[in-house]
Amino acid sequence: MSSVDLPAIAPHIPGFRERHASTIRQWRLYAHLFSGSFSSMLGLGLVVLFLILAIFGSSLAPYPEDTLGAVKLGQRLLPPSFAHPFGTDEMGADILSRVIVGARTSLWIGLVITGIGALVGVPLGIIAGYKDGWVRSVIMRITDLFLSVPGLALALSIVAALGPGIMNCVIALSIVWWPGYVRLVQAKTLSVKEELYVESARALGARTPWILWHHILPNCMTPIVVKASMDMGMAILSAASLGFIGLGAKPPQPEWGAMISVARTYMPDWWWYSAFPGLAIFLTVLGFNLLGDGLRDILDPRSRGR
Amino acid sequence: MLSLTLRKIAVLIGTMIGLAALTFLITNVAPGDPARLVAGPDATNDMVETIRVEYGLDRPLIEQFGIYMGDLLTGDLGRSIVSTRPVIDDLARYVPATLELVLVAMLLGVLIGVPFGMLSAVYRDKTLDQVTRILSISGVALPAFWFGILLQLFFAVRLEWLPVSGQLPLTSIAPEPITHLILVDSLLRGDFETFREALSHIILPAVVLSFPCLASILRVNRAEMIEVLQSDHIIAARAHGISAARIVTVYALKNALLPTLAMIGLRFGWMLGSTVLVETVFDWPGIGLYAVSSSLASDFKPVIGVTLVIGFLFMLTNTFVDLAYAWIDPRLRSAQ
Amino acid sequence: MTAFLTIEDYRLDIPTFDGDLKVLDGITLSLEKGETLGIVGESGCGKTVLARSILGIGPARGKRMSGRMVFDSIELDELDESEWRRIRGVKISMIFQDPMTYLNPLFTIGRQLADVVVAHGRAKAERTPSRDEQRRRCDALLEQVQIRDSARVFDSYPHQLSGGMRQRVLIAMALAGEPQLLIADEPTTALDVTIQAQILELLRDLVSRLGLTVVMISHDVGAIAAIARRVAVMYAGVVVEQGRTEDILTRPRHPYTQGLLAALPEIEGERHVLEAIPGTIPNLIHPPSGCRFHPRCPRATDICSVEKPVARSIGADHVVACHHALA
Repeated sequence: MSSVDLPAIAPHIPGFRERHASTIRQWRLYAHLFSGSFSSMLGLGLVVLFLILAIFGSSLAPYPEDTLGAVKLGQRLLPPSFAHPFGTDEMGADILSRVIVGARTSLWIGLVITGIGALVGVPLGIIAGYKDGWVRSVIMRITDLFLSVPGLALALSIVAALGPGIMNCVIALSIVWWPGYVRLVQAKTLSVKEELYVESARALGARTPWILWHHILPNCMTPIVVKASMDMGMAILSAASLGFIGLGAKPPQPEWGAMISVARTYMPDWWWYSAFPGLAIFLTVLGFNLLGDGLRDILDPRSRGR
Repeated sequence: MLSLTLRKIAVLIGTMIGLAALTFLITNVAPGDPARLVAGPDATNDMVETIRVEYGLDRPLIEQFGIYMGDLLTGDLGRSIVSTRPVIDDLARYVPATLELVLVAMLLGVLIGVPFGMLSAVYRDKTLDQVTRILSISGVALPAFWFGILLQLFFAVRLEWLPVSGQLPLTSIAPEPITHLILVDSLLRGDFETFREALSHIILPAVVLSFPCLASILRVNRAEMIEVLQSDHIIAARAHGISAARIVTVYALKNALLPTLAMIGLRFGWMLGSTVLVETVFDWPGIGLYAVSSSLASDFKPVIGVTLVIGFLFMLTNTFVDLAYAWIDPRLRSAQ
Repeated sequence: MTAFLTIEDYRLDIPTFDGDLKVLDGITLSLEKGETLGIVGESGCGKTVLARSILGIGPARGKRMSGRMVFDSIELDELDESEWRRIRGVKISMIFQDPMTYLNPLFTIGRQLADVVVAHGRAKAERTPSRDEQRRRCDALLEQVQIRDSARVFDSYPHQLSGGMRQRVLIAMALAGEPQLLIADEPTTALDVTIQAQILELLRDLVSRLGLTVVMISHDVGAIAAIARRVAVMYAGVVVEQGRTEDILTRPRHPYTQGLLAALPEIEGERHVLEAIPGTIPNLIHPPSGCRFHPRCPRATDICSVEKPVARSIGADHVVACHHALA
């Protein structure tokens, strides 16, 4: 609803701001909504902090050698202090350093699992949504089959078959992660494909790949971005869960879930050992969830206020 | 309604067969020797060969698949290396404990999540809403295993209000089984002491398991309530003089319950999966702990057995959810 | 005779990200008991907001900037939610546009109708009627709106009924509390043409039989003419002209009313080219200064963009808000 009073006689060459007025307004609205929401900004802050730790972790850690499994038996299980704000573990390693360096492990776990999930799931979802007949049924049957078992349980059995280890964990979680994207994208494609602009593109003789790329995919991006943001957190959490069980990363590799797994045997007297790695997982997952939630609020007007 | 039920049961059976095939695939596609996987890491080469013949692992894959499916049909899930018992017997022992835990957790999730979701929607953007929003978003992000440890530290170790772990004290004996759910059985048998013990043991693991579930039920219910409360028929109900309380708790809630129900089904599956964490933390004698200890011992058959059971329970839940949908929404009923 | 419903200089803003929408800009209307008033205007001119505001169910974030509404000496803007319950459905009632979305899909017609009956019983401080009595009253209500197989309708869900039937049900609900004032918001718009005529006929019959006071809102001048004896024409949140229906339809004085009537396709009489009003409904966040219609008005002069025209009487029961009203 904009009333533009362009002078009819004088030739008017619209400037950048005018040509992109609606886009600028859209982004201003996004920025306004996002920055106006405390929880979205908190999420963004936590994610940025996490990314900084993941990228510069090894130079930020106060005791870099502790992250590689240095043994300092003289300072085993010290409570939090100035020298060791998060305390030390059973090897005498500084827990803060190990938590900081653990961010990088978590980041790549999250990226790989979410990335593979999206790269496999999105194309399959678009195909299943756009094509009718047996192609759709085959893809959706297989998707539903994978979704019929809770992800963690299925991942556990795959790791059990592959053998423990962080790599196998990532493989297993990637195998259970893609069906979520198929479901999401297929549903969205189904609705987008009925839209008039897609119908008219088809009527004008546009080829299917062109339509998929120019019309379907861009319209599916909003839910994909939101889900990917949330999934970064959930993938990290799932990998940490497998690490906690003892099927993921093995000490001395600094992985948060595995640290808690070891720390559990030092309960309850050495509480800080499990408390801080857990806090790191919690804040990271919380950050990605809040960010995804905030993105959904601004990108999907229907869900505003959710 | 009957034809819908039959159709859903057919889908359930189909998916179950698919899941069985999937577990077969996992066993055989994994690098390494399936016979060694079944025999366990400590087996000698001779034992592995014996297993290979005994389980028909030397035969063609397609034939093996036939044998595998046939065995499943007769309830033969193989034998656990650690317990040396048939997996099916172990499962029969551990499933009730898990069910009890999950059901109590789900009850908590629904009884708290639905009303508070409703209240948050009615008092949108007020203090209550802000608090539940923060709680519910952090609820989903809480690592269950870590949260469990914190609760143990605080309520069991520090305050000593509740036991640290287990389903019953070592000194108590479970009541004679009727339903195999200790809480129910002890009540039915009139054994209130055991009931109290069982209740105090289940509180912490149930809270840990229910928290994320409660959070997402609350969020979905709130979102749906907000949307429904803006819909035309609610405006009409207001215009006709129906009281606000009745509009919220009857008219709007029933509409909002449909998506909430879908979330409840989804979360039920999530809980079943998360029992592997919560049961590990709380030493809860259910299938989650069974799966974890088996997988750590490279005892593979029980893991597959647990996967099948969890998948079955989850599918069963989804079938119930679908039927409940049709029961609530007349449009789905007459669509047949 | 004092007015039954009075709306005085009523202004309503709705805040949005881009600024406040000035939805209603000084509405002044009055209605005597037993009168039938039609409000006509394009979609987006604020008719529905006005209608809902009379029942206190206007936009949730709407802010009343000035003015008041008085019904039967009750200040409507000062009622709280419990006091409203003694008004809604009992004194003032409403029927709606799309009967599909205005009925709850998950409850039977009988359940929804009986609930309304019970709610009105409470509002009038009567005892709660027994099940049989509820059923009897519901049947009577359904019969009143000429539903013959009331037993079937009673047990049906909304999706099992036709659009016309659903609208009859909604009318029955609106009449359940024996209201004095009925607000009809586009009651025929969502219906098939043949059904429209039936519903209009039913409404006309009920209005005269029950002696209802009616505010009927529509963009359909024909539907308004069938029911209303007086008409108010709304444009962009302003009442630009009001008067007796035959005066407005045959001798419109406001340029907008004239344009609106000229844009109607005529079935009887000679056919002529439809005239469209140039331009579109203005942006209500930054409405045109002065007269809100001036950018589209063929008669606009300098004063129109500066000064808001005051409503003035130009004949027996005929008011127009225009600097250059037609003769």
